[in-house]
Amino acid sequence: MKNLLILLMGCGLLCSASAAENGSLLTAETVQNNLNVVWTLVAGILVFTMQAGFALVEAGLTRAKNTSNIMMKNVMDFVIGSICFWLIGSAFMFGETRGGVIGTSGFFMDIFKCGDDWNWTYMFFQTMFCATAATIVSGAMAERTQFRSYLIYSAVISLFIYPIAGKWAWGGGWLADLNFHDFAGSTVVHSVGGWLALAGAIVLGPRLGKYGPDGKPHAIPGHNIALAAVGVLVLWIGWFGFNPGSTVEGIGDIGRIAIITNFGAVAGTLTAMFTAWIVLKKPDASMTLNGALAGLVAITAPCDIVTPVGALIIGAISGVLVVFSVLFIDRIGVDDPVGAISVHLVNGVWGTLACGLFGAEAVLKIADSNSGLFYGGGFHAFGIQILGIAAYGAWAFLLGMLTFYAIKKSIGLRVTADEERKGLDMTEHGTDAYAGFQVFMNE
Amino acid sequence: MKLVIAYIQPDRLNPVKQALYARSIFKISVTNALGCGQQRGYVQMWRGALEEVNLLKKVRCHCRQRRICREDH
Repeated sequence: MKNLLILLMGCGLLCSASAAENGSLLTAETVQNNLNVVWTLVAGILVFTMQAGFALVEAGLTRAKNTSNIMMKNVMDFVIGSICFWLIGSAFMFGETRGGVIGTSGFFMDIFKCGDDWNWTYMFFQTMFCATAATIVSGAMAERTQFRSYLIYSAVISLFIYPIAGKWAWGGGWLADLNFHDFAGSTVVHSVGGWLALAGAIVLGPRLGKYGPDGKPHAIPGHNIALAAVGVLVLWIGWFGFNPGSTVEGIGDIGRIAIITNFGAVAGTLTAMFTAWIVLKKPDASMTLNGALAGLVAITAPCDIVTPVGALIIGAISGVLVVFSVLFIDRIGVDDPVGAISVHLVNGVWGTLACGLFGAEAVLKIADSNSGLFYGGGFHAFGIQILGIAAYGAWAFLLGMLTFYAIKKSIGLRVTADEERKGLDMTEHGTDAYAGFQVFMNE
Repeated sequence: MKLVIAYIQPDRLNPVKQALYARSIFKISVTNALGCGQQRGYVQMWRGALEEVNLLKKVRCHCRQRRICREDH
């Protein structure tokens, strides 16, 4: 890193030799700024690949007759999210803070005035995060949601629910003032998406045939584990932009955060596999895949302040949590086809808590004292994390229930039983995802 | 002329085909099918939910032959 900077400064001096003739000077500060722009942009592009990851995971874990619909939902929530966040959401999130809760300036692209390269890049990066939160919900609401209703929800989360959540912790809001810690978004992105997923799944109700008359859950197997696995790997790749990119600076920390992220992921995958192996008698593929994502979600908030051992423990716990959560959510009558609630809500909350437990800033020599309870930091940080969890839970879940209930009562949220049985590909889109294939129904 | 319809395990298709060819029986047609016998399938698990799978993958083999060889049955 040091060598790279020296090399760049050397180039800078060479350039400035000729630039000086034009009257401008390339300073180290400018070079660092450019480095920040490059890294943040590349990281933002990596976060964008997570859209592909989500699409693949959701398609793989649901039935073939709904694949076109899954793809449309994932593509369009990004499209709508980009536009809504740019026009209004970013103002709520980064505008002048009022009351510590909401931004009130910068609507309709005013916030990022032309001429400052950094703002364009930062805006790109933040848009990708908003889109990630939005797309979490499509998995929990798969196979039975009206497409137009999903589009409306996408607009609501990107215009309002996510930006306000982002303002509190990242936009100089009241939680930021309390030193609430969420480095890359376990809370702001994943738990908010998770709460909305829970609300959506509750208001929608389970898929036809999911629960028998005795309330016992039936299996509705996904149609392509290969897509699901590749989707998880693509998400994993994207996470190396999600976490290290949140430094928004091209500095040495990004390497450390990347490896911490990986430790969280691998530990989660490992323990999820073993938990499934013990509880379900076999190393279940879809549970293991969920474990990888659970580890990634959980490590997202604390990734800048935990040690490698801390990361492994956090990831290990998340893998166990996700398996039991999938089984539990199923048994209480909430149908979540892809485990979005278990991965993003449960482990988003766990990751948030983990900051207050495993914060080891002094050990890592980035601050004077450790914030984590397990590192002698006392209960203060832990308490702030709990406060944040409660606040976000109230905000996202209540608003989610309101939004979905309002949609349900107005244009309807769910498709008809007939449409659900025929498959949303044909009924919502008229586009068979697997035209030319004979899909074998085993039920 | 006799038409024999056989439901076989999908992974046995090639050995069955080779055995028929060995007896110069070339008129065959094959389709994918679902079905079960007396055992009524098995129990599968998907993410903790049990599923009774009683329609298993089979291959249906039609073959025609002029003469019946009793030892084939």
